[in-house]
Amino acid sequence: MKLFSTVLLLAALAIPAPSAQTKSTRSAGPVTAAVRIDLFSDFECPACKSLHEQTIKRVKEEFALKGKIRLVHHDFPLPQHKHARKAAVLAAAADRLGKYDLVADALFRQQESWSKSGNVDAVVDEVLTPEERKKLREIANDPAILANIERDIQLGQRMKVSSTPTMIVTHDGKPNPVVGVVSYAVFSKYLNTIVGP
Amino acid sequence: MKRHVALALRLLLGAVFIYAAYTKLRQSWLLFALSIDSYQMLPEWAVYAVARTLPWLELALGVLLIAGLWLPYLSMVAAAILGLFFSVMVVSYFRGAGIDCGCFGVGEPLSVKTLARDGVLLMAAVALVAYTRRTTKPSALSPQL
Repeated sequence: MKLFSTVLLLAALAIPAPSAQTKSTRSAGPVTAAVRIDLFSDFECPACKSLHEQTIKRVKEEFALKGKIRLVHHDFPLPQHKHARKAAVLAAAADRLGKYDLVADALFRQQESWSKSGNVDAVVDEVLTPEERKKLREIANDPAILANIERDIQLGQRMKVSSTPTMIVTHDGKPNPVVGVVSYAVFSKYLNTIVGP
Repeated sequence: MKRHVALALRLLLGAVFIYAAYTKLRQSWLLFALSIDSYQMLPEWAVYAVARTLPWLELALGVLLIAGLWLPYLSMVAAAILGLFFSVMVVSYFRGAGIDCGCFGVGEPLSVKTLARDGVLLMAAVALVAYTRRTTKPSALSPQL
């Protein structure tokens, strides 16, 4: 009986429940960081794919995960992108499983195919185990997921975001919008000047 | 074109160049570099070079236009710069790049409005070139032998 309980406990730890406190990886870096980047992105936007692959992944590794900045991802699915909202829902659900980075990378990598076919699920399923897929479907039906996306959109509108990708870099209380695709080289040079030693 | 219209165009263009320089120089030059970089037309070294020099060029041009110095040449420089900006903006707009204009600091999206504004300024500069060529003696525009 004790062994059975232990197995159950380990299984529960291995696959977090939808409401489990899995640490979100959509945001990275300390909340107290002097520099905060609010990234408004759309999984179906080609420029967002370029920014994600060329710049954001490295910014996350070199700045956010090293505690220099706070990077916060916000969903901003544009109305003209038919499948962007579904992709955002699945990515947000994957975040609750601790698989956000894996799913977001896959969505951007295969953007061209699913944005035409609309088969977002297939892309997400490819990078998850059968158990995770099942959990993901349950979580994706949680109305809170869509509500969070709506909140992100409203926040973007309040911050005067009109296109994607847009990064709002806040430093010393002053927000500076950086719109479109920028290279890691130029962006990291800018960040280095404001994060300090 | 009447003389007072040419004066108004010269003052307008001068003021616009000075304001454009001011909005760029009051912020980190790297923010302007990011605006240039987002057009995805220049290599990294050129992005830095343009970000460092363009605001000062705009400032000098604005001051000299208002002062009315070397007008036949400076009106051509102003028209060339505005023509370059306009071409780059038109190409980026029709390429569907959702970026900032970068014209007057950060936070102004590239749009039909910014294109129209730059187009009007370009026409003003071209009109000024035409006026100064008509009113300046040919010898003043040609190299002295």
